[in-house]
Amino acid sequence: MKLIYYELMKVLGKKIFLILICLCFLLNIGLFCFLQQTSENSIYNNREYKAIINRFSQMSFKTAEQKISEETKAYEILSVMRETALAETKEELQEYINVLNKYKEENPRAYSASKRLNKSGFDKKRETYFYELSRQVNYINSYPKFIGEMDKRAFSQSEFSVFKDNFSYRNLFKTAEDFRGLKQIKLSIGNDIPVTSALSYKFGDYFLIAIVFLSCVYLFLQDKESLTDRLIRSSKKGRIETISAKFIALFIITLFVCVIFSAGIFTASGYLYGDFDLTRQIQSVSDFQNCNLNLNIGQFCVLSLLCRAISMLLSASIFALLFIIFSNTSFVYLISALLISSEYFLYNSALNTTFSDYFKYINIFYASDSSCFLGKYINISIFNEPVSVYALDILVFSILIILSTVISCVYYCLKANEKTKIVLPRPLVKIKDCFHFTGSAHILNGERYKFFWVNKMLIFSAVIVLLAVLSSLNTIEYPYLNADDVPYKAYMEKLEGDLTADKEKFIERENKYFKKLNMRVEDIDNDESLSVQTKEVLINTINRILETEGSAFERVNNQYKRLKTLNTEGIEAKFIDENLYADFINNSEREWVSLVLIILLMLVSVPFVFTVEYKRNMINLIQPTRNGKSRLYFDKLSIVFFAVITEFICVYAPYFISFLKSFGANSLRTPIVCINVFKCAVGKISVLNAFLLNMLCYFSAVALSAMAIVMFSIFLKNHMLTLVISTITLVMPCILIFPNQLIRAGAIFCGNYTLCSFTVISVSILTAVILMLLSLKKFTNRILKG
Amino acid sequence: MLTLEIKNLNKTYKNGKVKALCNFSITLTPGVYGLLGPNGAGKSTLMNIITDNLRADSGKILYNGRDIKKLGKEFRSVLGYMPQQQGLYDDFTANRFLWYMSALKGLKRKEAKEKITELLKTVNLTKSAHKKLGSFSGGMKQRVLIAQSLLNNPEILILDEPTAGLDPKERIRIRNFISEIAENKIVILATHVVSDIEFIAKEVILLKEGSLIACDTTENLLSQIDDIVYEVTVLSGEIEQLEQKYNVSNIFRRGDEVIARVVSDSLPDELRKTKVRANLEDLYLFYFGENKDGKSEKA
Repeated sequence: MKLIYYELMKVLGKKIFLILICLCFLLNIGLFCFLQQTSENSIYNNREYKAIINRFSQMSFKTAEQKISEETKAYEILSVMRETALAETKEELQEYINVLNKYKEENPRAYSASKRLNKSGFDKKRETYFYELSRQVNYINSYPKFIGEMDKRAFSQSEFSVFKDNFSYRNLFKTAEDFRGLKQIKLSIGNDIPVTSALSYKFGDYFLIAIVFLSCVYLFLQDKESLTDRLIRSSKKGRIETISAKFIALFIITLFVCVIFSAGIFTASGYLYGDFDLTRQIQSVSDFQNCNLNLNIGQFCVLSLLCRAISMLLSASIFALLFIIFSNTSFVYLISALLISSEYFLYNSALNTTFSDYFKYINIFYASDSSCFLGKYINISIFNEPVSVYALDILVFSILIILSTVISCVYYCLKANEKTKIVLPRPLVKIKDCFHFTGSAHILNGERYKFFWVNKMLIFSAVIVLLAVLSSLNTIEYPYLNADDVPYKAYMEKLEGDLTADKEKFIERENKYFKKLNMRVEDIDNDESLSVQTKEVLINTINRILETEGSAFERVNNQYKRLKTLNTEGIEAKFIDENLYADFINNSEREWVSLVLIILLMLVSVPFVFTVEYKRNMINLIQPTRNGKSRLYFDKLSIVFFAVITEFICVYAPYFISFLKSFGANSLRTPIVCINVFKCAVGKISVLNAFLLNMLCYFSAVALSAMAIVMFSIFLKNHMLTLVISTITLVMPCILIFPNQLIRAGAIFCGNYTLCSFTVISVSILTAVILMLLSLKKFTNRILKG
Repeated sequence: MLTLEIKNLNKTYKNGKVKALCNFSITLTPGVYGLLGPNGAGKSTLMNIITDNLRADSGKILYNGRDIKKLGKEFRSVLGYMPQQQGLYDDFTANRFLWYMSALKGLKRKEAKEKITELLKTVNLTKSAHKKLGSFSGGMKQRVLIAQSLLNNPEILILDEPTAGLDPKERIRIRNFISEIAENKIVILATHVVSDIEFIAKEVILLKEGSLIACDTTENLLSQIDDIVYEVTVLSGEIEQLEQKYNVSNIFRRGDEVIARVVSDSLPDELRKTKVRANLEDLYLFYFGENKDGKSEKA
């Protein structure tokens, strides 16, 4: 017990860890509230809704159904009443009146209610609340049918004995069997929003993973770095007892943070949307229609917490295994980042193959997402047998947790502390002896050696350069999004470039062609010699052409008109493939992915430059020297920026090169105002200049990130801590912001893009300079701890 | 003349609860100064303040009359420092490490080359120059650290336990080497191995609980305790009692008898005792030993 206590103290005794937990907890809740405010659920963050839902959830279902039906009918009638004001002719008005009279006859109470609502003023929100309640009622009423259909499908398939060995066949039966227990459950009306919003919130997992990772740093790396592991291992209880205590402490911390983070979200959700009845059947919430677990909301929430906890425990045990086996901190970070990224990618992948299903569903992010994991009944095929995803995940996760823990314990107990060195054969030793370091009186040489050789950045740099070169050999596919993109591309291949007389004639001809085509539709419709079927076929054929080629030409025509206008404004307007070049300049997904990638690369290379001096207290020795302060700082900074520039080129250049290879450079000088999306851009900035401005914006953001990492390295003085804090402050916000199209890593394309870009660049550079000065001051005025 | 003046240096830790240096003042001129004191006396604090690794709460340090804080780089150019329990870059060879330190100390290439060759020879590491520091023993690492402290031919040399981990032969070599070079340097040598400074120190600085107890030549300090160091012969069973009552510096056994070296000015006459010549270890015990008989402990 004592050992567990001391291991816990190694983590909880660190102020920074406690501050981080509090910070992440608050950020998590803040992010949740922010997302709720900007989501469609924000309309339910309202006292009136809470009062309405409370009232109806306390009634019996039948009573509630009746009242809700009346209210929604009243709103339906009210909307008809309001539409009468829009009637343009007497006939239209009479139609509305007839409808209203019919309502009055069939639903007198609802009609009176609608008149009351009309008098009190139209309340859109209230209407939405009742439609939500009506949706609940309809869902509850349809549920028995939903369950019944499973049995029907299974029964109907049982007649076809041919497919009995098929997974789909067995799955039908298993599904029916698993849902049979829900036939008699009673669903009720209630407040669904807090349940769905809390259970579908996924971003908390990122914070949890960061905290779990940091716990592993303190439990498994700290002893190694402070060299106390030798002392510990030589003690009576320094092996199996110590490692067991570490794992128990890790699991306690993991469970604790899972509980408090989940509790925080549920509390926040309850505060925003009102209390929710924990005794309601989970299937009462329509999002969980496909859940086969016979649980109430309270039990479901507890189970979801357990699932999240198991996912986090698995992450914890894998991180621990990596820390125990590998001594290189950058390597551990890289592997961990790769594992988490792969899990994330596979969880979000739209690949629809059986193979990818295994990794999509046996996945820590999937298991943490209880709205999917527990909320949607899924079976996976294991040797053609349908196996429930919950059972499979819990089994696999448990095995992995046990396996990784056992391997870690065995390795920890049995490993020797010595580093195994490769013994070279004698001839190679003799050759090696000929190549001794001859000496250099430049600090940079020492720094370069540390960076490239000691930190193995030479290999890393070679790998990323190689990957960049390979990546630039790829061809980029045309960004087809809509049905008319194919003909549009064909048009652009003909028209791209200057607006010539020939092109104008071509457009005129096409214009005439499509006008004739439109008229043809009318003609066919009016042609009485053709049968209905023939007319339908012909019209459909023409419509298909109009929907694709016609739509594409319309875009081209609009583009042409815009170019003509731009020409009159003195801009040298040209035809340009809008799809291609809009995507070339302005793809927010690529922007954020590239930024995240380069930050991750910087995290592998940059922290070591400064933290290496604090690791063995070399800082004590080098700072009392003549050049050991500012000069050393700037030399180190030059190494940092060399790495940053290399990584920047490796991340951003391949796309540009691939683009040129795939589509050429013909339209790079075209002003971006020729592209519809950028029509509000001020000035004559060309596509190439816009792209370069983007690059400058990105570089300034990257420089700022690099300075932030340098600052963390100097202030925290610990490599792994720098990695974790940088991940939380730099990487995670990028991942969280990424789905929001409005926030960009560069400048936003609106109005004076040049000015906007230079503002972004200036602010980034200025902030980077401030961070540089702060870190310089800290590095040179380093005070030993008293 | 080269001087290092330390004036009224004060340093506390833990918001003033722990006094590491208390109005410490001293003027140093070329020569070796041995810095003696028990653990927590303030030796490392003093050295860290001189090397600008630590900020004093108050006080000044003047190098040739000029404040070292204002001199900054200029002072660090003339400083050589060898800290205690210092880690090194495991992946650097000794040669590369010394070149790196030369670069940090601002040496030109030619000068650095000469110095590195010379110092590797001095510390007897020429053969191991191209081996990685990670493979060095503790003593070898010490020697590398001594070598790097001398690269820039410093005027102020701060050595913290320079002979720790060295075998006797190496210890003597280093000691003699320090003595040779100290003619035109101020060398502050902190050590628990009093024999390191007994013969080479110009003056011994005694530090206790942050305060300067004494600063004088070895001869003058020893003359204070000349009459109170004895070799006392007792039976085996009596030695424990003797240790409890008096400051005992050395014990050696001869058959059933034990001869103990005692520092005390109140030994009873009935004890079989012979007056012996005092050494620095006796002095240390005299100043920093436990106050057992209420008289013998000076400080």
